[in-house]
Amino acid sequence: MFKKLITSIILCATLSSIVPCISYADFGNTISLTEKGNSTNIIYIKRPESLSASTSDRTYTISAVGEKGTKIKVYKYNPSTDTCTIIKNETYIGASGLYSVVVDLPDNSNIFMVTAENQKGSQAVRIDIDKIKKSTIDRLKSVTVTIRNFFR
Amino acid sequence: MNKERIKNLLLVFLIAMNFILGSRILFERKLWPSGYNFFSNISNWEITSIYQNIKSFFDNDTIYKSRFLSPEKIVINTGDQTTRLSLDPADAEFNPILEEAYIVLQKALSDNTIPTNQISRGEFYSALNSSSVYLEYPAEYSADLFARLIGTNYEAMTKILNTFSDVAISYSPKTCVYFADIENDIFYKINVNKSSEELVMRLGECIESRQGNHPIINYSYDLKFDQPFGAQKTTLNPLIQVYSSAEEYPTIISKNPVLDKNILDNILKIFEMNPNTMSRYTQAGGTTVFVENNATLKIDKNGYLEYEKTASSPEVLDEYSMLTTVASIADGVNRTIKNENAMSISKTYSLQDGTIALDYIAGGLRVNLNSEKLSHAVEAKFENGQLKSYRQLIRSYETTANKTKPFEFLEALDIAISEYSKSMNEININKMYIGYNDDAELGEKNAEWIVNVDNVIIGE
Repeated sequence: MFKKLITSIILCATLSSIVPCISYADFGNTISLTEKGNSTNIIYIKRPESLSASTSDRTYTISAVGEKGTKIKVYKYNPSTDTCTIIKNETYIGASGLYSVVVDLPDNSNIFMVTAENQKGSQAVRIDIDKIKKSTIDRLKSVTVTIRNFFR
Repeated sequence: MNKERIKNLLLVFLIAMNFILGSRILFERKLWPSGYNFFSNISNWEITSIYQNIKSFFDNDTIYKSRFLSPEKIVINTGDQTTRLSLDPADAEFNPILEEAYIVLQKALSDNTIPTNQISRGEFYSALNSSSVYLEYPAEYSADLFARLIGTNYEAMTKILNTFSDVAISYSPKTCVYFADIENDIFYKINVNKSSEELVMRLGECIESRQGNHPIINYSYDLKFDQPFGAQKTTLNPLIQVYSSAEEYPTIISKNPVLDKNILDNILKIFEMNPNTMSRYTQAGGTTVFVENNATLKIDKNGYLEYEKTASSPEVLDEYSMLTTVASIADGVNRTIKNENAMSISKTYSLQDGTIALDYIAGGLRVNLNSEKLSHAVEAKFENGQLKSYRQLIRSYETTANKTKPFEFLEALDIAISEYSKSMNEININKMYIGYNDDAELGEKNAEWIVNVDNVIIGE
């Protein structure tokens, strides 16, 4: 009886030390578009707030917050290979907890994956940035103004 | 007979006084001090100083504008983050653009009744995200002071505005001027029914000449770094500019100019002390002390100047006159020591408690002084509208050909925050800019990030 108790305690201790190691799986140079990681609260994307945005600019700045020591990588989706390839090598969030990265927008439809890893787990977040013409954005702005005036 | 005797006695007395006073000048003050130069002394002649006074009278407007109304930075917003530009006073385009911006501001504020709309924070941010120019000032201004400095109708302006810290001019499709009091969440918009073609042309030239040759700039509010979320401990003032990469800045050399007798005499005149009548002595540490009636001026070997006035005069200075008094003393001292570095009002000036502070500008960047005695190049104290003390660290800064690259923005922020306690719960960064730190030691100084913390909340 006593032997069984000792064995189960040792087993529990071993498992509890192994589980975090399993969950802290490193993201490689390519990842799948469906990758999600094993956690949802490692990183919080601040921009774009809804994880998708439209712009006429040729670059976009993604911003995020996370715990100090969190490892961040950025990938871009390549439709021809159906995989995401690393475009920004690993950087670590510092004491401020703030992170930002500038990405180029070569295509009309650009999909990025931001991955975050720390001792608590890993997370991958998909971000869609569409490129639209400046005139379209101006037209959208004028529509907004017209609607606002209508309600006044 | 009596008359003749009195005349003779008077003559003897005058001759005796001539010898006594003459010998005092010869033996105590030295008639020909070491380094005496007849030709350089011409600049100290009364007629020359009259000319200088007349000249500075006409230059005053420009001087005060440059001291108190010069923004630290001009951000040219194009509507795209990739082409957004930031200029500091060392950039060649800075002053021409600023001149045109002032013309637009004068047009906007010249009427007796200024048509203003109070707008939302979002509308102000929209202006910064479209074609516009943002003037980042080092301090908060009262509407009255700003209008008087810029030379517009200050009575009309005080009717619509109280204080503000940020100004923007949007020029597409229409010209509008924006005033923002970020801390109190108050924003105003003025439609300008006059042309701003010259400003638009200057901005266009600048954007074209700098294409693709600068870091990408986002305002903190763009990246939502001004809004706390979850466990986020750090928030930034919404208008802090976040740079994607670091640029190179020149190294400067700090020098302590030599103050010979002529220079000291001229400094005394700036403080309305008469070099011939006041008494002077040297303290053990080498500090020269000048005393005249109710005022004392001390200058130590390290260039630390301290003026104190104990008597009060009937004249009570208003806000504008207090600023111009300090500017005129600082300009006088700098001109005397032939210092060409500009000065700018410091973030910490507060007219409510009668404190005015100025910082040196070197290589277009602010010099953040952190010495034992002073936190700014100039610190002046007023009581009941009268100057009580004026302190200055006399320095000149030379820009060298060497250049260094400071840390990247987020790296610098992380380092600054690491210095705070681990038990810190929240930290709010009020200002973050590239400047030079000067601990009053002479020698080379590299440009670095200067982080001003607004408040820190420490928890368990």
